[in-house]
Amino acid sequence: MNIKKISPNTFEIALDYKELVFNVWDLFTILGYSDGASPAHLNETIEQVLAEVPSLCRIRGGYSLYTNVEWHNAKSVRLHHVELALGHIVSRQLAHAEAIAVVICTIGAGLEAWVQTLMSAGDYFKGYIADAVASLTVDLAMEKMQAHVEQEQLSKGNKISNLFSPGYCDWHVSQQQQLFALLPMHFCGVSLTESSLMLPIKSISGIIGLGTDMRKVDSTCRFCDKINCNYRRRLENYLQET
Amino acid sequence: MNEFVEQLAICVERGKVNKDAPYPPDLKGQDGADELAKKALDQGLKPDTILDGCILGMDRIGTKFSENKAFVPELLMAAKAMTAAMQHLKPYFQSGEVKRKGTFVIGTVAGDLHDIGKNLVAMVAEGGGFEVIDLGNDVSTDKFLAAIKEHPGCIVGMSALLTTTMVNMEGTIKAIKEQYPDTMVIIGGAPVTQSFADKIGADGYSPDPQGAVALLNKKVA
Ligand code: B12
Repeated sequence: MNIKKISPNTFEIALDYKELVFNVWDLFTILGYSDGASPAHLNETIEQVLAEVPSLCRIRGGYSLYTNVEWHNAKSVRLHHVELALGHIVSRQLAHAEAIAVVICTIGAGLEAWVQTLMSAGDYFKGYIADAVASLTVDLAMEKMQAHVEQEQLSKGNKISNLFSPGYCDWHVSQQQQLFALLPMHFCGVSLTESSLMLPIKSISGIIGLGTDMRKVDSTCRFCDKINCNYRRRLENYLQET
Repeated sequence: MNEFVEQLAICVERGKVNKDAPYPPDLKGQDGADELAKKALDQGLKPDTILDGCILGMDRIGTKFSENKAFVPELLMAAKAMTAAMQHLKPYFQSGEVKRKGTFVIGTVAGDLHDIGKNLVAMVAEGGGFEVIDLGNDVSTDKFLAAIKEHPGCIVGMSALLTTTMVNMEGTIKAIKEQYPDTMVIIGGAPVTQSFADKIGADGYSPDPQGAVALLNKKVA
């Protein structure tokens, strides 16, 4: 992990793929195979995909810290003149935050370009698996970013909240515009379209609350109302194991 | 003839593309969809029977998928086997000797670049016996309108992955209904719900590809 301070409150982090702990069971779960079904026929393709991934990922992430947290009302907060309409669920979790980190993470466009190549050549099977690997990789990378923020905060006697992202709970995706206003332009190579889509696609954004009274729960899925979701199953499996 | 349809349906459902394909292991070394289709034509069976076998096989795997008994990778293998068989039908489609049930124009709406879900629906619709015109990603209203003009009587499908792009469906549907009031439009994608579909005047919604094909079949029935 390579950390660069690019302004007094902004840090950029480069991660190597090797630093991620890739668990193939996670991949099986997000592909749909939850309860112990053994998809042996996927192994060869997964191996082929995983062999390509390290050279196609360029993992970058980072965050800007805001220490002036002004609550506008019970569902929106103002950070440095930018108002984030977080909604009730997220606001409740962050009500006691003393500072907020605005975070993004991406694996770059290399892997998704390869997925497109595979798909246009008609290899949907491999393409789909590569796409799922890409989604999982950016998830794992974001977890690393969070762990880093947590370490930093622990050393200051603080704790952190979960990561909350626009488009989850009652925080609308269109709020990505406000979130991006709190980060440097093209931070980590990520840009936002008018329709609030991040490019590269395999990117994640969000905010983390920091402070002595912050709490991180096992899974933010409990705040989400999407029941039929393979990502939820992945977290549930994980929680059962630990 | 029925026996052939059943054999081909098994290959399609199980994703057995051709003889050399190692998947699925228990069918190793046996003829796949590719060989079966070719042999059927060589033996003088009607080309329609190949389409029947594909439709039956895709219907079975699609149903399993809806029931969470099969997953996307199996669906994709089935689609691959189906494509291998359908390839032999190309000249018959062109000559009009084999007719498909209808034309399905599909695209991801303006402002959105997600296409995995849309691709799956496209494949299953093709396997369901429809000619599929895939307009790709970030498809503008004008592009949808041009495609409807080019394929009179087609059914339109739209996909979106974010609530911010899903809203673009409304304007596109309005424009379609103004110019082509009889065109059926169905929508889908992670954030889409039946109530949203009703609200914006879509004619149908489905959370999965099999449901999409059921809507298409209802329209052409
Ligand atoms: C994997 C995933 C990601 C991956 C990448 C996504 C990708 N496709 O490349 C990553 C981790 C990068 C990601 C990021 C984000 N994501 Co995301 N993600 C998902 C997840 C878990 C699965 C999506 C997926 O690939 N599904 C597999 C495909 C095959 O399914 P599908 O596209 O839905 O298609 C199926 C059906 O919908 C249907 N269908 C599709 N099209 C059509 C069309 C017709 C006509 C019909 C009938 C049917 C149909 O059939 C398909 C096959 O079954 C979903 C939640 C979920 N379980 O759906 C959230 C989800 C899509 N994400 C969401 C959000 C909010 C985000 C972020 C904005 C979060 C953030 N702030 O960082 C970002 C945006 C990224 C960007 N570039 O802007 C929301 C979107 C809803 C919303 N609020 O707008 C979802 C729904 C989660 C939620 N909150 O409920 N995401």
